[in-house]
Amino acid sequence: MRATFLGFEIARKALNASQKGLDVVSQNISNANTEGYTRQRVELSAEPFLRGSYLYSNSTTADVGLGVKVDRISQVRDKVLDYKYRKENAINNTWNTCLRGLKDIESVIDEYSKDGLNTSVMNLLEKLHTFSSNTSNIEYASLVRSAAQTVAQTLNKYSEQLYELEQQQYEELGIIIEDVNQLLEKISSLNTQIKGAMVAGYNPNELMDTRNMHLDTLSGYLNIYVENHDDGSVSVKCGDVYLVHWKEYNEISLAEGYPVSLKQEDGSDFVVSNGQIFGHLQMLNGNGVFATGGESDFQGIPYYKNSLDMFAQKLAEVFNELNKVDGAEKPLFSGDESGNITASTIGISKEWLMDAMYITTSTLEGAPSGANDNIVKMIQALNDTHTITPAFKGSFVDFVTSLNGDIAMDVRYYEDMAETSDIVLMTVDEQRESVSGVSLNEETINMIRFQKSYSAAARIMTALDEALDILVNRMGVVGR
Amino acid sequence: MRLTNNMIMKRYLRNLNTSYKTLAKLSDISSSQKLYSRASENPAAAMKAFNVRNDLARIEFFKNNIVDVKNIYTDYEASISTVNDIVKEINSMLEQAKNVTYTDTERAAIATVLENLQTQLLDVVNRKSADRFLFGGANLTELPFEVKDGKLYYHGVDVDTGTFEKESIYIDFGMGMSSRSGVPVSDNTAFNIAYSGVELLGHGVDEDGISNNIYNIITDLVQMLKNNDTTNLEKYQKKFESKMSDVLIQYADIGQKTNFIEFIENRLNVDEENFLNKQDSLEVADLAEAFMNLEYQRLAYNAALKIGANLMEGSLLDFLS
Repeated sequence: MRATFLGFEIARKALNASQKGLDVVSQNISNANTEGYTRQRVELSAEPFLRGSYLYSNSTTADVGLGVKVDRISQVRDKVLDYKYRKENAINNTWNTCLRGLKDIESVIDEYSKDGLNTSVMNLLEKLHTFSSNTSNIEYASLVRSAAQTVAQTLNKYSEQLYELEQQQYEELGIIIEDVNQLLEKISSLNTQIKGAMVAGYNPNELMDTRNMHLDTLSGYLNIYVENHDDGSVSVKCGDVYLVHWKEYNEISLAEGYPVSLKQEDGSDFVVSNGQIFGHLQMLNGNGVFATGGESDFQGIPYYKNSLDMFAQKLAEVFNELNKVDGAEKPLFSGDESGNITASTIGISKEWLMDAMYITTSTLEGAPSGANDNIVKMIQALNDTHTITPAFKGSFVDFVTSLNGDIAMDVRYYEDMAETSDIVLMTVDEQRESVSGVSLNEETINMIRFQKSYSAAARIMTALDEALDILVNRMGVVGR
Repeated sequence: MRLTNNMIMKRYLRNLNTSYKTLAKLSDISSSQKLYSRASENPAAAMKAFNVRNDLARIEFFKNNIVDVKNIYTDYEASISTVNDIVKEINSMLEQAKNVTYTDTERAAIATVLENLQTQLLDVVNRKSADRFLFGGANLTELPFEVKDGKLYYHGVDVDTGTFEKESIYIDFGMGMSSRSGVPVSDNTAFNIAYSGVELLGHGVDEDGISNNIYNIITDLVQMLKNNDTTNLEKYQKKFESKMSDVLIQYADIGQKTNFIEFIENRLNVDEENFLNKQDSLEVADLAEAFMNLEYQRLAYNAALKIGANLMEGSLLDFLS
């Protein structure tokens, strides 16, 4: 026997479903421009007629279903695209972070559009030439001394600026690590909330969107792998280490010492291989050609610092050697109190500062006042080949050019790679957008659809009402 | 593929950005006339450009050296010319004095004139110019010649009896002197600007016992004329004639050296021009081409902007009644 009000129930459910549909359309439209929003969809299914027991029922009753059921509101998202995006995002951030750092180094040592080390060394050479024509002239001697001072000061300046860059990189790294830890906390708390909601039976779409946005941001900082669990929580792995697992998270921090590295909450090592953190670590640790053992061979700040230090040492060594008289020390360049010479400590020796003629002009016996043979030797030394670093044999000027070449080529390379990676990332992002983004046309059509089905359901309600009306008010009233 | 509004907008923005970036770059090139503003924009060309710049700087050094040396040689030339004049005058006096009809007093008068000329000669060779004693050889701060007891000393050494080595102050003209360490500096690789006074005036004694030094010869002559001793006058006058041609040879030598300096200068100028051309091709943008590219890009950018205004045409919503 059919229940009297069954039709009404079916129509009511239809109205409900259409209403829900319209609600979802309005949700999608209002969030069309929201960052990180995944379009939602109402999932409908037909409700089957549930017979109590097939054993004792009547036969051949044509059963009609019990209407439409709103299963849930789901979101349209492709997990594979998310994985691809996060992987590429980490790589992209590596390129871009390194590029930014390299450009900073370039602005310190680039000599193409400003005067730098090359200019000051050539200036010293010029003053030596002038001096060679009259080595008894104290003005010329002073010029040589101030030219040498300029070389030392340029080295000091480069060294200082590189040190500042290093500090900046440290600071940025510190800020990022704080950010990462905050994100880890947020993700783990969202895990709890989402799991709770799913247990209660509904889809926390907005919470999941928020968590996905956090994961996207996190993927820019370091290389992560997201494991999705059936209960709605995620685990975040970096390499082999779990950063978030269920509702726990593993804070990371900077470890002491050099090279700069990271450690987990329990103190053990933590290694990243991509992302902004990795980029900063490369800049801080990269020792280029001088890398030993497990050091990074990226040409980062230590590489340039060490190169300039070796340059300063060699320059001082060559000139101090040439200035000796009968084997006695007569240094032109000096370093710090303990005598160590680096790019930041190199300077004119006190003796030379007091007396411009401290520079040895001739090493001949009883040399006359205009003899310039030692100055000629100094000029030759400036143009000659030396082993300035274990990896570079050439003149001082060539060395500066080659250092400029190193940074120029690195910047060029990273610029190209970053550009390519940008395009790849944008392509993946576009694919994600294509799947999860809101299309106004589509929503409009859905709106029309649900609107029409709402009207149709309402119409059915009217029809049923009329039928019931006949049954109730006009059946069996004969002749009244 | 399913398209959303956001995708279209993002794509448009990306393309616009690329177009704008190109526009900015071309605008930069047109206004600065440099093909690139940082070495990283074209590393290969930039490295070559660095080398060319350094080469140009070196040529500048050599040219500056040449200017200095030219000035010094102008002084040399003037001084030697004066010496030459003095020597010629002395020689003509001697020609006269040889004349046996001259009396004692006339010979004594000549002796006085000779003494004056001798003093002038000493002044010339002891001249200082721009803080250097011109004829001091490699010693630029001590007086070259001194007279003690009537004898001439060059830097404290007797010019008749002492030995004198070649003195040198080598200047780099880009002939290879300073290309690397240990290159022995010689007249093949550098230019010697030291001029020793004894080279000019002569030193030592010849087989007749006559001094080779002009000053000392004059001293002897003055003595002879004052004493009216004409026995060796003929020999001395012959000697003096040969000294005169010695001075002329020195004078010609200076002239030749000056020519050489100018020859080197010209060569350096040619080298400089070659390097400047090279620098142009590496660093400087062709203005016409740059402007053309800029205008074309501007056109493309404006077209893109116009199209974008029509992109958000609207959706189905606009057409619902």
